[in-house]
Amino acid sequence: MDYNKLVKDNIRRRPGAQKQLYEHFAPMMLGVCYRYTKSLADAEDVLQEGFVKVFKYIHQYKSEGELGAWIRKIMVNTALTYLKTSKKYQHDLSFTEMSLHPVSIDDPLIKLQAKELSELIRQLPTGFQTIFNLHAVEGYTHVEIASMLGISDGTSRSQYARARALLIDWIKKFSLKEQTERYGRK
Amino acid sequence: MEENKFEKQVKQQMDEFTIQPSETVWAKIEMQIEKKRRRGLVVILSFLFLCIALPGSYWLWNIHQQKLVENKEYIKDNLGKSIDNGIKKNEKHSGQSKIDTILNFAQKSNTPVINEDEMQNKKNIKKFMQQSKFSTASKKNAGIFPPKQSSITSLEKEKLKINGQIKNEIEIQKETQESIQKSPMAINGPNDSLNEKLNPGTLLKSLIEKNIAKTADTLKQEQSIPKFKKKLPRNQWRTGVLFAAGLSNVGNNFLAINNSAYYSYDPGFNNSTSGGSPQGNFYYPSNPRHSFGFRVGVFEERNISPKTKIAFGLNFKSFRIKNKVGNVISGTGTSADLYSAQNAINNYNNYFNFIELPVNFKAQIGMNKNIPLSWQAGIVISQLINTNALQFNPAGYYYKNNSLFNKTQLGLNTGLFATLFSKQKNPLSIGPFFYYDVTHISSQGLYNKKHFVFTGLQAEILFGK
Repeated sequence: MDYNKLVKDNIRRRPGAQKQLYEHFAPMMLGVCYRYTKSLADAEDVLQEGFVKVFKYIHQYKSEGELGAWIRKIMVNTALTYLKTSKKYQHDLSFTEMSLHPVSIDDPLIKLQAKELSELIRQLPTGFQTIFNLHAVEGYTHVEIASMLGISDGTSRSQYARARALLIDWIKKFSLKEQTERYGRK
Repeated sequence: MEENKFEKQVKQQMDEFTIQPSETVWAKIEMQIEKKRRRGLVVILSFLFLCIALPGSYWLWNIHQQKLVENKEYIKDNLGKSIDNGIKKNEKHSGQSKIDTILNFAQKSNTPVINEDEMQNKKNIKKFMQQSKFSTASKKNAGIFPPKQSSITSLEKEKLKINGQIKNEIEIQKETQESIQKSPMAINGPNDSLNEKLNPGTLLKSLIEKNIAKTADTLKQEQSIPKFKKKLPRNQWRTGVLFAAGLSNVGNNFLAINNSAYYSYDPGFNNSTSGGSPQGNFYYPSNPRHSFGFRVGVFEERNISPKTKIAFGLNFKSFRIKNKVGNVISGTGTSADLYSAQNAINNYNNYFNFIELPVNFKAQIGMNKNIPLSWQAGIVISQLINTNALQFNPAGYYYKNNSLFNKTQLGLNTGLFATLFSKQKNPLSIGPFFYYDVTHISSQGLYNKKHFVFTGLQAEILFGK
């Protein structure tokens, strides 16, 4: 797909261009929004807000970067704003500095489906979930996360370590459970 | 390394993860976009409406004022002439035409009849009209023109005054007639000379003649007074109001051409056209952009020579500068005061509100008397009263610190104005206006060594001619 043309068409408000852009990126972006929220309805709300912003600021997109990455950035920011402003998530998004959790050396090989892994990430407490997503999936540094969430980078590091340890533990258990279900008790 | 391995696996899995959204999402997006578009349209239309309605209503009001003045002058001129002509003619026709004029006017009046006396009064007037020997043609020859409809008000007052006096006179006449009827002379038969004296027509005639003479004198006096009033003393102060709207900006030079963001004590950030991306551990601020600004105020001006004026004023002005910021950083206690520099995609309006004292010189250019052009230049001392402007920290956030600003500013302004309705009571001057702050906004931080620039359209209305 010629993204430059698609962007130009959107800037010129050609009929159908907005829908074309939406249809191309919506499934991937809903996957992003889904990881930050606790329900599909909330994820769709974030997706809706995010795309409204995309169409509003499409003229600011510079063709140097990848269009998908630019839209994804907007979706992540919209999701963070949603978590901060929504009454459902506001309380869960309070961060306290914890002692640094030792990083596990025994990392499991993830044999889960993307959907299953995504569900496990969503089972994490909201604070853990957000920081894990921002660092492990989006690739932000702890300094950047600290700036985005208004916390210290130490808090971001400690929260991430806890989230990571918890997730690894769940992945192991999930894998064991699945193995038992498939092959029966040894 | 181990950590990276796990993260890589998660990232890879998550990048492939997609969910098909329900169909309602697109419908909601479309609806939201349409709503925003409509809202924008409403704002634009409202603005256009104001742009048309305000000058339009001002124009209509001025035309109305002009008509009133014209009518007043018309009445003075024509009625004065008519009365003069009437007097001349009456010398030939025993004063009948003057009386006829007034009676004719009184007859045409649509004043409602409210009591018996007034009915009687009208009957008397009718009777007198029938007795009158002068036709309408003779009235026209006498140079009597009907006044304009809108100018009747002042004449009606005069007419009502006359009617009142007529009424009194008729009452006296009635009483006299009654006493005469009771007297032996009335019983013996009518006396011609007495009857002539008591004839309502004769009484009315003498009364109206007296009033016409009075009115003519008053009008002549009135006509002579404005000639002195019209001359405006050269050193008279006049009050006016002004409103200017346009674009305000900040920059390092006169026209704010170079308005790139600069952080005074950041050792090595790279200026760029967009803000927010990290350069190592440093962030750079977004470039300030122009936004809406306005000034509103009152002024007093006076002539210092036939073509030059001096004006002093007191204004309120609000300059706005836009920049891009990231999300509000919460959890700090003063959440609204801190904004992230990361992913700066949200517009932030920095406003600066001032109270200012301008001193301006105005000089008329050219010889056009209908729409005179004038050039204005002056100096302005302004005091910052409040602002929500953000400062920038290279650690990656925006914050508020008003202590960095120079509170008192000195500026220069100039403008070119065309004066509409210059001969009216409230002339309107309108034209382009330019303002430049000589002093720096701040000596450090995001606005280091920058100046305010304002370009817009200014309108001034003068009062009290």
